[in-house]
Amino acid sequence: MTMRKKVFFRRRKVCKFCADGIEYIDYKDVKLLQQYILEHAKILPRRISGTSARHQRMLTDAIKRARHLALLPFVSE
Amino acid sequence: MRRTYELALVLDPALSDEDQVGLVDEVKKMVSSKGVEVVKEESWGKRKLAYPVRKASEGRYVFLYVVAEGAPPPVAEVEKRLNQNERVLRYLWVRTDEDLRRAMRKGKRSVAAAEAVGITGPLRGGGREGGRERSSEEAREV
Repeated sequence: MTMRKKVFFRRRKVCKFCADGIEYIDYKDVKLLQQYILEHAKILPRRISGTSARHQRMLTDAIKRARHLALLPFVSE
Repeated sequence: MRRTYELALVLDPALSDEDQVGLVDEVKKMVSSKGVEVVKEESWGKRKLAYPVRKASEGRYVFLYVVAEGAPPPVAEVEKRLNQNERVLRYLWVRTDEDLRRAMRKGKRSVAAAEAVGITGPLRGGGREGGRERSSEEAREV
């Protein structure tokens, strides 16, 4: 049995909102919110984006508000 | 207690600019009551919708910034009348004072939505990252 040590080089993910000191995510900021939805318009999971739990909560609330106002899609294609 | 709100409106794209002004004035009158005032109005003009709403592919976006001293704005009544008006495709009430006060106290960035309703705070110029939330914050008056 050969044991091979796998070496991963993974960049540490940092929460962009923490780094930038953003404490309010506006539902009107479509450009920002668009960066956090996948191509099928799903919300980008924080396991991928590295967003902190607090900021992910703010983000999902903002995205959902924006969706209601048809600023962002619920689904696409 | 000073509460602040935003009322977002998505209006029928078929309205003329004058009709839009008239309708928004009507809504402002509905919102305004004693101690409740629309302090700022923001219009994005016609914008493409992310999905069709009542067959419309565009909408006229208007945002009203509301400040309420004492009594809250008549949210339920306004909603009832907006529901009855078929020129209003979508609306959204958001109460913003708590979130904005916290953001201005703890954030490093100024928030445009806070300035619109006159909420200012000591913005940290750097320093501590990702501070913890404290439950007593809700009760603290700024």
